[in-house]
Amino acid sequence: MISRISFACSLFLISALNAGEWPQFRGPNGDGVSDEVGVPTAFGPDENVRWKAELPGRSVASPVVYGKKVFISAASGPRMDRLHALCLDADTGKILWHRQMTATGNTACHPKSSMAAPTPCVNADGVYFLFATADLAAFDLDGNLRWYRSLVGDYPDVSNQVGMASSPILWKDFLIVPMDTVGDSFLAAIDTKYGKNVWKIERPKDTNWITPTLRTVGDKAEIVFSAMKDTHAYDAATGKKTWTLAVKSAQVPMAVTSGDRLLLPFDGGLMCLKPDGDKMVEVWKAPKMATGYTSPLVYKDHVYGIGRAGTLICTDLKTGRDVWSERIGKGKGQYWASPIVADGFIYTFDDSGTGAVVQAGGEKAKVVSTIDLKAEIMGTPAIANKALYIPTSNGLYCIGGKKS
Amino acid sequence: MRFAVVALLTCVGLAPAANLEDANKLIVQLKAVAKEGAGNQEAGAAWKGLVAIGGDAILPTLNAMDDASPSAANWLRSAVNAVTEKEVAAGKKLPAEALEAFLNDLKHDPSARRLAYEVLVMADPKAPERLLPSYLNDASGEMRRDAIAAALKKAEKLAGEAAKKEYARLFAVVRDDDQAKTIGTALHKLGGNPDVVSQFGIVTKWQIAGPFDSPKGAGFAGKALPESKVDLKAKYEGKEKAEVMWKPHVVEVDPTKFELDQIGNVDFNKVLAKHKDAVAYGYTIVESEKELPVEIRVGCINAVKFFLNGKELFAREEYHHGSRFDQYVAKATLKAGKNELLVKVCQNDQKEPWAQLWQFQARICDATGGAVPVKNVTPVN
Repeated sequence: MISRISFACSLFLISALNAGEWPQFRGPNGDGVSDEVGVPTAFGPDENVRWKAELPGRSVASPVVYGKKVFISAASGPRMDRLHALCLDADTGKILWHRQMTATGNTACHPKSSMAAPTPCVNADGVYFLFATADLAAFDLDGNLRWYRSLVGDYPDVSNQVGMASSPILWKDFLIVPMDTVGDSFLAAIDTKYGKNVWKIERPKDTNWITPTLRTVGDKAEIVFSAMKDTHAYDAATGKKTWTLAVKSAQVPMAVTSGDRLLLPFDGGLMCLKPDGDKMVEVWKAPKMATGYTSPLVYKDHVYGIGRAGTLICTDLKTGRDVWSERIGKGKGQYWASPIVADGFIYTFDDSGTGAVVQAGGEKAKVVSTIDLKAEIMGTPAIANKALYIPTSNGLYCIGGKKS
Repeated sequence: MRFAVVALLTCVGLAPAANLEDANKLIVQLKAVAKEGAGNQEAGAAWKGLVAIGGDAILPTLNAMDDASPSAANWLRSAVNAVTEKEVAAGKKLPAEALEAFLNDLKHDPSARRLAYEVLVMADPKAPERLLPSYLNDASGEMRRDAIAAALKKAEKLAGEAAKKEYARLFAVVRDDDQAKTIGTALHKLGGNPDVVSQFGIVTKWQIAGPFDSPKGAGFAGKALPESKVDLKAKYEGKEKAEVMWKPHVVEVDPTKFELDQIGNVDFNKVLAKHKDAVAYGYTIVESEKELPVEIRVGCINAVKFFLNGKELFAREEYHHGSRFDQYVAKATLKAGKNELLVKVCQNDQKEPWAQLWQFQARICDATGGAVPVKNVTPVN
């Protein structure tokens, strides 16, 4: 059994190392939490906009930020087979570099999605773009192509009829690549230097839009990755399965960690798990926390979730007890973007561009401001440089009062 | 091929021989990439070297795309992006004349020509106006699409017979479903007779056999009797021991509709009645006067296999994840004379309302998606 102190230390280290960055889907720890302060809480199409940039195609991915560089993907063309990897100046929105590839895999997806659905991830050595077509490219931060893989070329039965959207994550020198499809289906660790497989394990042949979760266990790390019928954890170093939990997945939202707790979305809501020897056991279940397309947010003593229609629910982290819920959706759109938080303020957006900033915690919901960016928002925003980087389906807003 | 590039570049006075030699050595490394990341280490270094050469590397890199694998083509494409970006940032001139010559040389790979065009447009923003009218029937789908889009803007201003003639001209070269719908609808309103089936090579004349049993999807891997040998006079034991025989089926086409994914679908639920855990076959004959490279393109929401002259071309075991025009593409060669196309479609046992379709669409076309000179005949029992 691992002590809570060592868990806390590990998580603190991860947070500290990534301070000010937003290097992957849902931020440094994949939980939607930023340690930034001074991010605007009131803004609109003409208010507190530091810059706005157009993208060369449709994107439902999130931007990622490393220092003064923002990275985002897009896909264009009538068959959405032109893939774009972009780097923008974080302060001005100027495109610093733009690389293109031709999709080598299938380009089918729901009209709401895009081949640019997985979110890239970035570290000091490079930025890693995975597309729904299973094209995977690594660039250095200056846009030099370090390596490229056509995963459909490597594994021809990889399928993509429904718009694969699971994002890769980084652990040490490994890029963890989720590729759950009805054809070839696998989870792989690919070395970030030259793009070769370190380990690759078979996964159930089924569709899956979930992004894996990195969970630190003392000096080890494991990858928690739900499949349609159950959830598995794998040793990040070897790919060896460490535990399995037989619960049906929620298909889209990813799990998040908090200390030694694992908050796992399942098809009946949200489940809190804790380690017990070499397995995970249930602490509580919150049936109301069925969040649809969005992932849960854990911040301080509470867990937050927002459903498709826009009811934001606050749940006590220790007990799973409902604290408050507030219908913040205005009925204009559905929620695909996951909630994120900085400096005590939760940011939510629906696909009509309507957003709300809500004070975290408290006994009752307190909506600080409502926003209407009048643009389709599908991807989860990023927070860095005292700014929000909000992706629209064809552009990117940087919201920040002053340059950091 | 390398000599041709050298000659071209020397003609326009662009690339010192040393740069060309260096570029070609580096390109070899990029084209050597193989499966599972093999060659990535060398290619990464070569990519950087190639980009460092600058503008002199553009034409050799485009030329190298002609016979590159899809993976290598992406290494090369992104190198052209990087070089171009660097040259523009440095205020250097892009080799417009050589790029236009490359674009106009139809022997080059269509995607490489398109990339040359995109770089050319950066150097010469007026190039589209000058060049696009001659690319209406181009091998590059993107060049063709842009050319048709430009022509459509002009066609919208025409009326009467002039408009009808122009829309008919555009319909004869259109490939993309959205443009086909726009042009087909307009032409029909003008009194024209756009024939989608002929234009896109959609197969409408079939023999159908089924249903055969497919418990828990076993029929996908298994072989019902028609799959081993098609005998149009045979009687088979089908699902629930019912007798199954081949029966002719001609798909009706509404000449006023131009949604390509809706045209020519063989709907087994209508032709055979609704069945679950079932397999059905469509069989047709295509006559070609000569050996002919083609693409067989199939759209199917169910698990599907298709065979040409007894050889399996494609298989995908996937159910109810959507279907679309040209969903699955397989390259093949028709022989002179009669060719047999067999399509196997498996239905599963999903109960959801959205999981009830059991159908397919097939067409035979060239690499651009245009019809080929073949005759689809109804096989006779």
